[in-house]
Amino acid sequence: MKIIGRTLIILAAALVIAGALFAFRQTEYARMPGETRPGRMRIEAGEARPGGFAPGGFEHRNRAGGDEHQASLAGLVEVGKNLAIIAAIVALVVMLERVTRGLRQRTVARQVETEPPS
Amino acid sequence: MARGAGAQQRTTINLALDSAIFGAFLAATAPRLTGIAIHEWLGIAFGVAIMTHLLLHWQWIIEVARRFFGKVTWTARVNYVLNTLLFIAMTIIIATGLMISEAALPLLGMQLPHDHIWSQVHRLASDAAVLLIGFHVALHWRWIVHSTRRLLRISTRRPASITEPVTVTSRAVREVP
Repeated sequence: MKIIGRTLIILAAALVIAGALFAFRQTEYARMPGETRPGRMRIEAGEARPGGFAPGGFEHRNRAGGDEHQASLAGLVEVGKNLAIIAAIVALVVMLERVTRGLRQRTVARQVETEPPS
Repeated sequence: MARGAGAQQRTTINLALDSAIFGAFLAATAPRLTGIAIHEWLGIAFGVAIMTHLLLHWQWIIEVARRFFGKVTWTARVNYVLNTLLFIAMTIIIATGLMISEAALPLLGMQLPHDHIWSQVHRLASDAAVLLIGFHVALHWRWIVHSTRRLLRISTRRPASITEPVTVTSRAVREVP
């Protein structure tokens, strides 16, 4: 019973987000033609796409050379790209965490050393 | 002893499910690898997996939500915001994915008119999800490494049967939102 209730809460939250999405679709902004929309949306529309950052994932429909209706090992490149992005973020965050922890420990040790005995 | 074994089992389940979700996410973000039909069905199954993930961590969600503006660590707070954003991104990906479905919904007898805006939002949300997943994994990196090491060590030490009490720190269990 508990699980059903919790599942319904999660579904309700998802429904609220989906509802907001459909409400966004009805706005003037979403109805604008591609040329008048800001840069990122035009990039996503396939008019221009910078290389590098954006993961290859979900790129289908009307993309040059991208027949995604059939499976192909060439898709491993997309997996590799996304994995590389995730690995870079993990490495960066873990490194930052270690540096800040080390600095904090050092300052605590210094404070202990400089504090006069009471 | 029973409590330790229970915690151990819970950690194993969490680790197995989270690894499966991560693998499915990577596969789902590469429709060229899977083909569009598997991509779509995988996306739908992904929704169920996320729900299971949330149900498994329900206690953490409720606890942090209750104390969000009170006595809670900054890490938990950042984690909570990140997880909320991830939930929003995943919901958008699944909802827009259904709207532009070419294989799954037509198979169920539903054909929706093609709307380019859904494709754009689908891609934007998926790009954002890759970054958010990166931060999500990064914030749980210590738990992932700790649990994996512990599980591997236990399985190599006791190949046949577990007779000694298995101890898992409560911190490792608590760190799993």
